[in-house]
Amino acid sequence: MLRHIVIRSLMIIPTLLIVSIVAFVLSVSTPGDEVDQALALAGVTLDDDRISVTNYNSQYVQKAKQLGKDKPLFYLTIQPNNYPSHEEWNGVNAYDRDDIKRLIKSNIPLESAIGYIQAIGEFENKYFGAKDTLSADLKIDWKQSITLLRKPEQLISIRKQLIYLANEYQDTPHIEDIADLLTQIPLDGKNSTWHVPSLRWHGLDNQYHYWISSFISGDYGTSMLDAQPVFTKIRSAIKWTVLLILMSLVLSLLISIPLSILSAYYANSRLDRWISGLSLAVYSVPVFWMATLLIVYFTTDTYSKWLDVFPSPASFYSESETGLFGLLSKYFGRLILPVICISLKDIAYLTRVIRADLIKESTKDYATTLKAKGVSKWNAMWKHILPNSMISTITIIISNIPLALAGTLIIEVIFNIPGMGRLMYSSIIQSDWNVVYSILMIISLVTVLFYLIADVLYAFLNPRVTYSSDE
Amino acid sequence: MKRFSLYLFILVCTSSFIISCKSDSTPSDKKAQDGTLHIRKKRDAQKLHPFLYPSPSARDVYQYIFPQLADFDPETLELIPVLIKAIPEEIKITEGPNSGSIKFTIEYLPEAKWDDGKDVTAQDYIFSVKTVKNIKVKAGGYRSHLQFISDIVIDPNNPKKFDVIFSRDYLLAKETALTIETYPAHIYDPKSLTTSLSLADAGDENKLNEIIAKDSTLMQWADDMNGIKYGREVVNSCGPYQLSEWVTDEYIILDRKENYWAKGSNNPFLVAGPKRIIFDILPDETTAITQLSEGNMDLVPEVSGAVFSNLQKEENSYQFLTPQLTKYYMVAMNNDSPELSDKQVRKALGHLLDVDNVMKSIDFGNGTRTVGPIHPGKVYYNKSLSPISYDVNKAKSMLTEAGWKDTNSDGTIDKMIGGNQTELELDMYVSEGKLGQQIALLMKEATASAGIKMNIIQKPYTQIESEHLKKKDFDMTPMMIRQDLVLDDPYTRWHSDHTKLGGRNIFGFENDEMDKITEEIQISDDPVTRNKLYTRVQEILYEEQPVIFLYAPSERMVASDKWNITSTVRRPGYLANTFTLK
Repeated sequence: MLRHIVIRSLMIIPTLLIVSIVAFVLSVSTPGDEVDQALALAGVTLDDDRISVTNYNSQYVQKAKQLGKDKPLFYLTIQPNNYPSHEEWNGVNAYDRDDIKRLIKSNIPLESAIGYIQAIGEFENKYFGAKDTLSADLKIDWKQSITLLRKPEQLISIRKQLIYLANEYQDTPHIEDIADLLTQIPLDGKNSTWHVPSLRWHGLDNQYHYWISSFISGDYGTSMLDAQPVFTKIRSAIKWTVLLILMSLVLSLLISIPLSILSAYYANSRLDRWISGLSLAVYSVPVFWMATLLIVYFTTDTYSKWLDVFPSPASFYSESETGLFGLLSKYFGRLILPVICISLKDIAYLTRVIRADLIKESTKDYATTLKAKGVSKWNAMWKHILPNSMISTITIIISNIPLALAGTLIIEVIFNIPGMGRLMYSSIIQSDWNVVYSILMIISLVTVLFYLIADVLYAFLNPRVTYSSDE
Repeated sequence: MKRFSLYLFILVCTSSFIISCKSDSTPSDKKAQDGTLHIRKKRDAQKLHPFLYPSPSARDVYQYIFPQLADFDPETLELIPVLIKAIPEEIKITEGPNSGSIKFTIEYLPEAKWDDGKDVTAQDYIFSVKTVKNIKVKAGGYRSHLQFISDIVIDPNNPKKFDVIFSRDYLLAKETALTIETYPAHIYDPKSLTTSLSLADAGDENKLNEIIAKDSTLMQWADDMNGIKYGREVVNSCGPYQLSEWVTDEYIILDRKENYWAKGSNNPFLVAGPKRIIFDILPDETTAITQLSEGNMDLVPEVSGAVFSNLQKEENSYQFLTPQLTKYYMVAMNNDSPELSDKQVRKALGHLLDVDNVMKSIDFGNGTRTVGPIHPGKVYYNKSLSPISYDVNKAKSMLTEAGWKDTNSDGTIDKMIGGNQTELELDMYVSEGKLGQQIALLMKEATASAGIKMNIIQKPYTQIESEHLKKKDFDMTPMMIRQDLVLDDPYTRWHSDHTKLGGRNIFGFENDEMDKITEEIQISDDPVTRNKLYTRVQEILYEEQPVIFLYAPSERMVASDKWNITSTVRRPGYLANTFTLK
């Protein structure tokens, strides 16, 4: 048993590592360049007349170094062998990287791609230098050429456009620039050459390594929105989510156990069919819709004064609710409707599961013996059959906790509960990725831990379950 | 059976407790009588630090803490003094080292004081400007506005009086000098670390790095300015309200200053009406409206069109406010693309968008059609131009006149451009917003009937911006443009100098006359002449149609009937400190 626990605990490590890699890949793949955003905050944008492209690039390199974004992403990279190495890539102007990447994808070597992009830049600068002297038609044609030139996938169109320009404006003093450009552009069209993948090893000096090391050491970074430590934000949010989950767990057990007993006691009766049908119906209703309906009908007197039963979801600010009862009223009162909302699904599910277990248990020999001894059916159900059937229920409940954690997201948003779900939601909306990925990691950790607990508990409660290592 | 009874008992107790929680300990009317105003906020304010300008959401809160030297009157929209004696006149400097520059002589109100009783002085203004200019402070968004402030000279006889010198004359110089928030230097820089730093050095990265290399405390101070210390923990200025409590993602409480230096003032920015303003952070709209109906909320801004319309139909005593905010919608077009470089095509596309239908479905008709980048509420909006009508037949004939025909019978019209047989096929990039989706769908249908193939590509807006707009790799995309109440400066968005990659003229629009006029507007002092130039700007854009201008939407706010509320064009559409109880 102990050996099993140790093995299962060790298995958490690779699971979390995989999750961390997925989280990291997502964090670097999300739209928007973190370095560019940091520069914008510092007032360095190309929008500004005082910032030239060269100056922007040097500032970009500096900022990337400062943020550690100049390092390779991972311990190793697998790329087509024509793709530039990390060091080569760092030497490319930041602003041109996307264009160069597109050229490389069209099988143009890095040096040619850089040369090509530089030629377009010069071509564009010449346009801005000469535009006051150009005719309106040439202006349009020249600008269209620049637009086309940046689309290397349209090489044939580029060739036609340049030939057209060269023929149309033979007497123009700037036309030689266009002719020059013709010689610099790799206009041979796309090659469909296959490239052998190349593997490059970068060692520990990579972005992922620093990210995961900080995470393990408890440094989750700071929120990009309000500069608060991510840990502080998560700490204040987690208490709400835990409270919500615990309350919904208690409520769902309080209701589902008697319901399932009733259902099993009167198995196949009209009552049983009603309970089963209702459970199925409740289980099928989407949570967000149920939440909205509950708010609309049961928190105001718009439809009837009798329906105005629950406190409406609101801000947790309250100046008069002090003392133990006040605080209980403040927190429990606000949480009860969301708790009901989460519990309804669990109640429906657990009622079905426990009922099935109870019926199965009641067919066993000991149940028949109890009956033979004269124990009433009701007492046998409560005192003997229920405890035995709870073994599988407990594991189901525990393994459902991580699901509940994920399920609270929409509930927290709708009911305005400042928990993990709402924090995750608002962080995604506002691109606060440090917070998002930390929450993702924490949820993963909780999930694997609870599955481990459920696994161990099942073995502990049911001695008939043995693991191969114990045999 | 005993166990079942126990269960029943627990359930009854729990239910009783829940229902007892329903009774609010403070009745809603009593809350209002206490002078507490509840305003719904969709999201948290992040930082209450005007110079870092974290979000418009933060501005809605910090405007009551950090007043500007002057602000736009919520009714007349004229610039009125707030912390200063009078709006200064521009003075041209003709002699001395600053010859060729301009200056404004500003004097703080003699009674203007910080919370600790100290006077608001020119030193605080210098500190504030220096902070924005400091390269190490993340005030990039603000910094470019102050780029032409070259010096600030304090009157030797009056510490509250000073000259703000601009290295060059330009359109928004006065507004720049006056619409800045003042920070108390002795609170935000208690160790006087920035006192010896000159304005020029603060904005020079190399010089600043040299200074920091010798003494790193300045860098520590900049980190504090960028971090939570001065963004959340120390929030202090001379406005009528002070920050009392802030629970992240829950609520922000501002309390009226009881011994306020401007008590009794009629200035709309110094008035302190409600005793307490609570910003309740409620992301979900249903929750916010439920709170309003329960009497726990006094003002719900940013109400969706459908909910607003439904509430108007119901029997209730709410106040419905629809101030027209300074923003407008447009469909940006890439004028450098071969297909859209022809203005006939652009104009035809304008006729293929049923703007009234878009306005009806997105904003339930709450908005005003616009013909150009000047907001319809401004005096120099060109009323003589009528909005482009939805007319598919007209669009078709315009395209035919421009030489677009379906020569290869593939259902899409085409034309020879620059030696290439070009099909009129356009890529429209839309984000997940409702506006973009609606426009794209309507346009796709209408353009198809005119023989134009439209490809709708959906991406997050940040991705559209970084990968397509900045690189000019797009044909069309719907956009929302936020504007200020200051004079419009069409130079950055419509001058050809800004068509280079990364520039704000992402449309690639170039017009010689527009270049000339936008340059003239920048240095024009005479309002009459300037208004004529604005009129011409709108005429050129109307004629050239570089983008499709849609409409200026109205804000939708619902308020309880407990307060006297006046809406304003000034964002966010209300000024909470001016509210009074009925």
